[in-house]
Amino acid sequence: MVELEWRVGLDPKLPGSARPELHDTGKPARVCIQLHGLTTSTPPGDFTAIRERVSVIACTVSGNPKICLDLGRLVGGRPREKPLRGDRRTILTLEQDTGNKISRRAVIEGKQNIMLGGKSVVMAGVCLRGDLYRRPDKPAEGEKEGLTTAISIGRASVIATDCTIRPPMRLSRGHMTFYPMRIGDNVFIGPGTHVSSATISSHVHIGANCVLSPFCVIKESCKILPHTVIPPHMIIPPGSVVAGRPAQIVGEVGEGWGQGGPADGEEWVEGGDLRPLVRSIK
Amino acid sequence: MTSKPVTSKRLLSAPAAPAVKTPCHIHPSAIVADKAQITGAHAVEIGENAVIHPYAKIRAEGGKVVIGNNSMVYERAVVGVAEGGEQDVVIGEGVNIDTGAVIEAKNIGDGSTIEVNAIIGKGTVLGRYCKVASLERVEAGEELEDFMVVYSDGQRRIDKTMKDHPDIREAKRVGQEKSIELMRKMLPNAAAKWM
Repeated sequence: MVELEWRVGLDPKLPGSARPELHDTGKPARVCIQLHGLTTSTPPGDFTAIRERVSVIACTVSGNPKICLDLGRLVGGRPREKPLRGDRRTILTLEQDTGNKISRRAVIEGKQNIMLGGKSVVMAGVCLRGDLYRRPDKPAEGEKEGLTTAISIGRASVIATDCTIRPPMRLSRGHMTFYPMRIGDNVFIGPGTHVSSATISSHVHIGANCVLSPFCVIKESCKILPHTVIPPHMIIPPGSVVAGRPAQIVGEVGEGWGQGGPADGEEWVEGGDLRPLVRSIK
Repeated sequence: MTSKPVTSKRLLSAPAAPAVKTPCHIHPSAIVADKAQITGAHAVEIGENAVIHPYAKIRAEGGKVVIGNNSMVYERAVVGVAEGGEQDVVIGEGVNIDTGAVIEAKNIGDGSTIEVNAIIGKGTVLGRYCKVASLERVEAGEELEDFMVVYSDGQRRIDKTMKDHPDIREAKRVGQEKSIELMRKMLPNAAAKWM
């Protein structure tokens, strides 16, 4: 008998973590999974974890065909036309490895609140504060607790040594609360930086020893030079080069930043696809 | 970071059991995280409602460390002088010490904020409601007046807003209290480990 346990998140020992999200096109798509006649449709951004063991009756996907393929892999081959038959105890284990590389010397608090997209690297000495998450205000319906994500990191992102990633905190409706933090794909965070931003979009390159104060927003394809201090709530427009304390926009990344293959001897290029870098980190 | 199993797996990140038990006076309402590191032979006094985050390092090696009421020490901050320097470190009330800061000051006045990765040298005295911005340094022996702001690679100025408006100071105090209330909910208290 076979059972589907669909888990997303940071647990390198457990096979079968998966993340059905469109990273390449950036367009949202809906994923519909039919479970015992109930439909769970969630936009991919919110798709965090389904912890209960349920049987998959049918998988249908609307939207981008890429998701269809991912799900096809997840349920073990092809998208199924006919529903899988089985009772509640059937298990279909996903044998997919997410490819996340997390150093043993990384210091991770609250790992159940941390989502890592596939093929991301967390190097030694990194401190991830997943224990500081936003508590949902209303009590959960029934016995299920709301899914709390403190930190969500995209695919092929690299967090270099001794960084600290901590969700930002501010006053909201009379109480201090932590807000969830989103880091996009192909983000390189240099060694020793302190990251407390609200969001970091994709293809950003952050230099060493930077400080990203709470609630700053970094848009796509930015380059943050080393030793920058970005003040709180600063919004950095896409494609800018930022430096200084306090940070100022000192330039723009050119048209072809991130594109064009790496130079001889290098395996990856700043702002581009970081997968070669991820592969080269043992 | 290899895939081969290594015998000393987690020893590097978890603190080794200290040879000497630090004499700590931790107020019952203070919150000290389990992974906080308190070392050294001298006394450590943690005041009412103080919060010590995981991986914060309080080293009472060169002298005692006093953390005032309502103060918060974030992760990876280092408070206290190393072995050899004979100096106490006294942190006032409502002081916020952000991630990675290294505090070797003699005294930090009430209501001060030391931001991320700042370095406060030995023997310095910071006044009340001071603010040291991220990555800044305060050199050894310096004295900062009340309401002084250290920013932008070594520049100093006086924060007139804080100085002239007591209601702003009050707002800061209230904000600090709310942060502490939040930390009480988020961090499990393991103060009993050191008492």
